[in-house]
Amino acid sequence: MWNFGRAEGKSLPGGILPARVRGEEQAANVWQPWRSGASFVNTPPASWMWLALVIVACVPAVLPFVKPGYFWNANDARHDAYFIFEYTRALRDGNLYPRWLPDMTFGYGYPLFNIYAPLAVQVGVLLHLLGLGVTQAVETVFALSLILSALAMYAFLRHVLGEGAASVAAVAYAYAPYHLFDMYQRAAMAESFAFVWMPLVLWGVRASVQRPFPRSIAGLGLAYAGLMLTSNLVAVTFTPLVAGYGLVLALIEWRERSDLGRGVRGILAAALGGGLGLALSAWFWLPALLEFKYVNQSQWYGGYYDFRQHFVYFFQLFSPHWGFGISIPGPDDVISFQIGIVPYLLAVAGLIALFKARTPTRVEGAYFALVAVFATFLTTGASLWLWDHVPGVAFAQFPWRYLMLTTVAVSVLVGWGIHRGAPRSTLLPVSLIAAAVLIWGSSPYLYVEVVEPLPEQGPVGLPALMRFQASEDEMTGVTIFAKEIPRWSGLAEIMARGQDVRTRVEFGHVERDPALEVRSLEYHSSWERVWFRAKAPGRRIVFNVQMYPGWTAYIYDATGTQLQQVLRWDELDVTDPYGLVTVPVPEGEHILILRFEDTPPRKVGKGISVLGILTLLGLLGWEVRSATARGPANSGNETPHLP
Amino acid sequence: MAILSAKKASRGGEAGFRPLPFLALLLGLLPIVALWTYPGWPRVATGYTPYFNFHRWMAAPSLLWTPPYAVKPPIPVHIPLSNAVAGIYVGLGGSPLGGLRFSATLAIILAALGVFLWLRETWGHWPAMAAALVWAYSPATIALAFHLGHLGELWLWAGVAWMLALYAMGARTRRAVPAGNTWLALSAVGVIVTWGALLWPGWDGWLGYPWRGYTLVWGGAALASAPAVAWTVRLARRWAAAWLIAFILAAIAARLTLVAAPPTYSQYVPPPAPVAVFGDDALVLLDAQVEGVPAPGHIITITTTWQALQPQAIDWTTFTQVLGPNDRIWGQQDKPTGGDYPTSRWQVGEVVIDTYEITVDAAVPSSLRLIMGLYNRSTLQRLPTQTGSDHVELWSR
Repeated sequence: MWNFGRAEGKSLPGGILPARVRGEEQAANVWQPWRSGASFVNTPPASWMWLALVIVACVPAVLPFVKPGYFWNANDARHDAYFIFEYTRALRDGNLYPRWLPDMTFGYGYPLFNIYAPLAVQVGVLLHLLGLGVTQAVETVFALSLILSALAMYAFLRHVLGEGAASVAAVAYAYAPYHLFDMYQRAAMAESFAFVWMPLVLWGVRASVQRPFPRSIAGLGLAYAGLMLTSNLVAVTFTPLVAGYGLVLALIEWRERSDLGRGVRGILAAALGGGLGLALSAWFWLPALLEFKYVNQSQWYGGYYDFRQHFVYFFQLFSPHWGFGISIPGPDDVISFQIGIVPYLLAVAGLIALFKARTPTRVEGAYFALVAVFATFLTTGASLWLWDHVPGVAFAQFPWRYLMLTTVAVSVLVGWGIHRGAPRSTLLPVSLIAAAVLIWGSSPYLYVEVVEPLPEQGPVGLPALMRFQASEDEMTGVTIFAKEIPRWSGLAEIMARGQDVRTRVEFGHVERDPALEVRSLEYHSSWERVWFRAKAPGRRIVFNVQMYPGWTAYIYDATGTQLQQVLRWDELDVTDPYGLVTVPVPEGEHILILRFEDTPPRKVGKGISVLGILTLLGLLGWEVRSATARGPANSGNETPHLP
Repeated sequence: MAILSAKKASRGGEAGFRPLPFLALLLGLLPIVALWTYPGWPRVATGYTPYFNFHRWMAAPSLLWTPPYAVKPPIPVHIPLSNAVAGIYVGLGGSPLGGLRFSATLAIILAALGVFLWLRETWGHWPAMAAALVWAYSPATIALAFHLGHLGELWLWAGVAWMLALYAMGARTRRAVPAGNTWLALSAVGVIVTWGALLWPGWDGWLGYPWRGYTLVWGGAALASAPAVAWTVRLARRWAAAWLIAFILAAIAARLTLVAAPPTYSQYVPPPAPVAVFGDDALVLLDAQVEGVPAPGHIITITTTWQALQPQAIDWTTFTQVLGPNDRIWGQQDKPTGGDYPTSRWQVGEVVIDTYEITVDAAVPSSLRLIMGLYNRSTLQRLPTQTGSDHVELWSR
């Protein structure tokens, strides 16, 4: 059924392109890695013209972020700013990786970065530390994510389709309405940044299967780890696509070379790369996986977040309507869930190209066409059964999130259309026209709503953060130990006045207990040292901190030198209704240190990540050694063999 | 000239069924089909007029008829093909609005297929497909479908396209070729009329109300321009594959029309007939629900549903009155129609719900009627309904 031979010179309808042009020129135009021995690093030299085209093409989409001001009303714009703000505060307090954000939930704290992938926020923090304001840092992360995502798609597809087609696909990817929706309307920083990693992961899989060199595996590992650390949600929804892609590539290898072993080796290399990615990111995902059960999941998946309310109506996939708001039940969303008519039509051209192609990559293209159809299907109510019964599908939270996969697949198909439809002689003008039409197609959507912050939005700082939490019931996550979601707190009162919290000890409880005296000696974002004197047994010190795995109490003697007792989180008590950490203390005068520290899953995760880093270094070392042994002529930097 | 008058074979004309261009055409039409799957009705300048007419036609189907509710430009006699197709859909268990949506969708698909079959004979499959797609995304088609709601004319152009297709296919069997140069000359005019209008200042008005293009002229021009599109694709084939050019052209067309003026919708389903139409298709009172009885001291609540079929220059005021014998008023409320959302801000096709409350006097007679109407507050002049009355009676006893 499949014809894996070289590009045939089959003529187009009506003899529109002669066989010589379609077959030979096209083949010469496209670097064919299955013949040339390409891998993740061993790529053809970049054509600066195409690269420049991609970067310049991204400028209009970045311009809205250059506008003075901030898009405070965008869905997650405030979250983005306050995540960076909170992370930076913790960092300045000496906490290198703050799994616990102490100022969330009105000061009761929440283990956000234990369950929420941090990389996009970390990029924002870095930019903030380099001197940008918090909101500027957020906007810069979005701008960077857009440019880098386009470059990533270009980097991936130039190996498959050639540089011209890859450039157009990169533009389609950058200007896909869902991508713009993620940035301008949702302000979904993690998901937008995940757009960078998805093509890189695909590139890594392709390289690993076709040339299972250490560098290919290392590259895939890094890209997959990047994706997992940027958005575990995207990683989970994207992984089946990647796995399927790897299988398809292995199948192509097997059929193309009539060598089953080659296909098996390829798929093992890709699995190794994926495993390396998992290992490198284990310090995050392992605790996230095992300790997510300790947070109130209804705040993530219940109520408004019930996926049944957010299926996309079929007409919405093509409706060019655009607006600002939130996803609501029914067909009348103000926001847009469109694929984009222009990318869709150009993707149909790509589909036609697949029917006409006779190269192995046709199967790859067909795979992306299937992905586009299936991912789009998952956004609609017709897929309800899958959402209810297939594990992992509902992890996407909102059905329209699968448009992310549609966007990847549609962009690839757009590239396919150019790849097969434009001969080498006119590749540049046709690519420019197609790119221009794609940009023009999305031009009505290229704006953000810059507004002055309301008091409950900004300016970024503790008072506005508290007002934001109180007014919007956002960033008020609770753990399973809380019986109630707090609406305000004494700590919030302090922070709303712009003052720093100096202790988390609940002194109201202390004052009610005449047999207990407590004094806070030192306070940091993830630990506190207190002195106490209990005049009777059975006393308890309550901290204004939500219980969660990791909180550990160390009880020393009065001088603070002799450790007498260690109470792990599951040995501590909890005070209702907010599930506050409560330490049962012995009689007498003592020093108590309450600290948020690593649990066994976090320690194991870190250990696995260290092993991952060592493996990565080993792979890179192996690669360098191999390259040295091969000599400069075969060092991997040579111009690839063109047909 | 030689090229245009040469035999079909030398022009690349192709006979026989080839599934790929056909499939490509259907996939290219998918967005338009999808846009008709909204569970409601688009906000078109004719409002729910097609729906009201459909209900009347279903009550007494006939081959030729005069629609009771005006559709601009008024055509005295219609062939109710659109209603007939919608009727089949309803007969299969669908809703009336669903039937009309189905009818519109089918008209567009058939028209595009007609264009394809017509031009395929002369210009080849892919150029013909390009012309069919560009026709489907042309301003005339998009305006007729999603901004005017002129379903009958969509069927008209489908019919014309099929006549051309049948003629072309007949010409094939006679081994005679239609005069391509004549078509191209017509087409050049068609292209100028169809697409040139969009370059006119304030061109977005060409797609929405008042849609200055004359329906027949613009629709015909759009159809006539199809050969020029096909010809363009043929000419550009040395630049790229015809199917790629076809979809780039379709994307450009869609960007100029659908993306520039996206359809908007309402889920509202009106009763089979409007309560009243005020003015010259100005404001339609789609529904009026009365709650409460005009007993002494009681409050009557009237929930009205309005739709503007034209932009309103005047902020109309609604009067609601409980009248007794000799038209004595026993209770009334006058307030701006739409309340805080005055009629001058209503969008064409938009459905607006407004509520009125009347407190009935303490000593009302037994014979009463409840009326409402519109007037201009600055002149106190009432806006007559299409029946000539200056009010509409909602209830009486």
